Amino acid sequence: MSEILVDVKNLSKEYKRGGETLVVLDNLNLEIPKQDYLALMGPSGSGKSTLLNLIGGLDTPSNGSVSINGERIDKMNSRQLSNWRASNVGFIFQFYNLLPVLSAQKNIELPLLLTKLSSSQRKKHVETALSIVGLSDRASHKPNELSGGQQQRVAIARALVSDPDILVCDEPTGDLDRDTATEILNLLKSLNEDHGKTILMVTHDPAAAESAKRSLHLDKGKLIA
Amino acid sequence: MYWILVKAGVFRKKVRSLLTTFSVIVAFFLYGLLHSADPLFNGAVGEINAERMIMMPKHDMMFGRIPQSHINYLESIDSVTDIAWIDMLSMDINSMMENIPIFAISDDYFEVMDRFKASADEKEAFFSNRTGALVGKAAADIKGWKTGDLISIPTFSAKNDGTNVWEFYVEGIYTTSPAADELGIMVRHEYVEEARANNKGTVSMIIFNLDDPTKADQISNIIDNNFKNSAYATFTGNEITLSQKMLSDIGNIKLIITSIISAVFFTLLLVTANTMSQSVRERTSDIAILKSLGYKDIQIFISILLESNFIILIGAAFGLGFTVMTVPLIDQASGGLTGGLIVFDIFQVLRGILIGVLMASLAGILPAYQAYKLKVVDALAKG
Repeated sequence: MSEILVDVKNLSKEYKRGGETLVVLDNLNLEIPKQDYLALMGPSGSGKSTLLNLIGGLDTPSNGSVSINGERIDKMNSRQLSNWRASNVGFIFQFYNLLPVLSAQKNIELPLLLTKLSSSQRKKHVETALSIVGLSDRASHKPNELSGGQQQRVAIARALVSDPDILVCDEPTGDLDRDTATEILNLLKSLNEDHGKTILMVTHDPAAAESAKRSLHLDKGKLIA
Repeated sequence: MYWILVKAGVFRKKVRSLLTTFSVIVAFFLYGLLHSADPLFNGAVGEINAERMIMMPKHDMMFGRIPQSHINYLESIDSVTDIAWIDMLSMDINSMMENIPIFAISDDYFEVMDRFKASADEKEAFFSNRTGALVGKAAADIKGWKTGDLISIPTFSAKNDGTNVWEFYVEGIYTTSPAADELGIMVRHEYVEEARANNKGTVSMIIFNLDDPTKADQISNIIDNNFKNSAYATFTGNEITLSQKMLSDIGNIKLIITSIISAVFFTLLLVTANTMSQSVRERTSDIAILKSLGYKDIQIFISILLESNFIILIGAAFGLGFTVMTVPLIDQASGGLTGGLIVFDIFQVLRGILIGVLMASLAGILPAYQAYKLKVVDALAKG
């Protein structure tokens, strides 16, 4: 059996809303092996994104534990989580979220500015990431000069550039047409199969879920399949 | 790292950043111009002498009068030496601006007020002609007067013949520093006193020296106390004290200038703070993304403060730079009237930069704190 990368145990997340407690994740257990490609599906409000945020170190649980590569990220403070995110996880969002003023190259370089890499080393990393996503010829283009699919590729390159173990994708094809979505899904598949990246993807799209190695369904904060 | 973040913020809305920077430029230019006139209000005027004493009417220093008999009292004080006097023929402010003020001077005026210069020949010609005049160089340049001209100046001082237009022959040109003091006509008090119908026996001010300048305060107090309860109370002091007192009679100009500058900067502070706040609100998702990439809250906080500093300091640099370039041009365009007294030196530039840093920090601190506190999950959920 493959080594476990993500180990979620008895995970709960609750929010207080006007005196009421809203349970978003309810005593959830999940193991994700290294180099897995897991699609999380479920209706809106089922807790998919919350689970993604907890595994990505963007949020902290109410109860339970989240271990990534053996590290308890639920015990980390805000500063430690920032440091951890910078080198261990790459995020891919539905709306790309590129900084509009910066070129593709500079957007991809953003995570590397937090490292001690020299300018030339950063440039090499960026070039590699760009070539993986097939956008070497668009390095100097700004986001508004790129199509939606190309912007998402830049976002994927930005997630990849610091060589994280896990890629966390929140509806990565939600804003793309079918053909472009297929290209992005193929790219993610290639990252998983050829580059050994562990991918956790939230999606509503069954076609997208099919491209993953396996799918899990969430409903009312619990895993049902 | 920070430069990229600052760039990403500043250039996101170029027109807005440009307009904000432009308002900062205007504010600092105004600051520079108003402060460049500081020396005029500090008494640091050219060759004004801290040792030369002047006695003036306590009230209405500019147009008031004191009896010439006060001179007799001054002569009775042992320490007082070299007494001269001057009397301005009546004019109001508008006439002074339109015409040139006439100063009737005593014969030894040039000895006591040695910063007024005229050649020996000119002075000799002046003192040999009862209706002679020495005109200031700036006045001569403006009016086109030259030696030998007969000039006619309307005043509110009536002559014995019932007219109030005074005529004098220009016997020479005097110069002084500051050049603003060259905007005058010096005529002989002896003639004016005899020819005028009103205000006989009065003068505008009496000038004297002391054998020991350290006694200035003591002697001033003795003199002013002596006339304290008379109808012609006096204010005595050295030239610097007097020039400041005269300016304060017109109004507290420094306070007015400081108030204008404060209002400008306060408005600018609100404008910049609002711009920064709006900018941060619009970039909520950008900031959330940066945090998700591993940027720390404090790094985001610093980058917003730097962004605010960038906008204000660029504006301040241009504003202060324009001031540095403009002040000499104003000085030159004044035809020497400002006499090099309008200056904008390195200390004022540094003070401007310090104000800029302070304003930028104040304008940026709240938006920076908003960005610091921003929760990634909440921001991403809002899209």
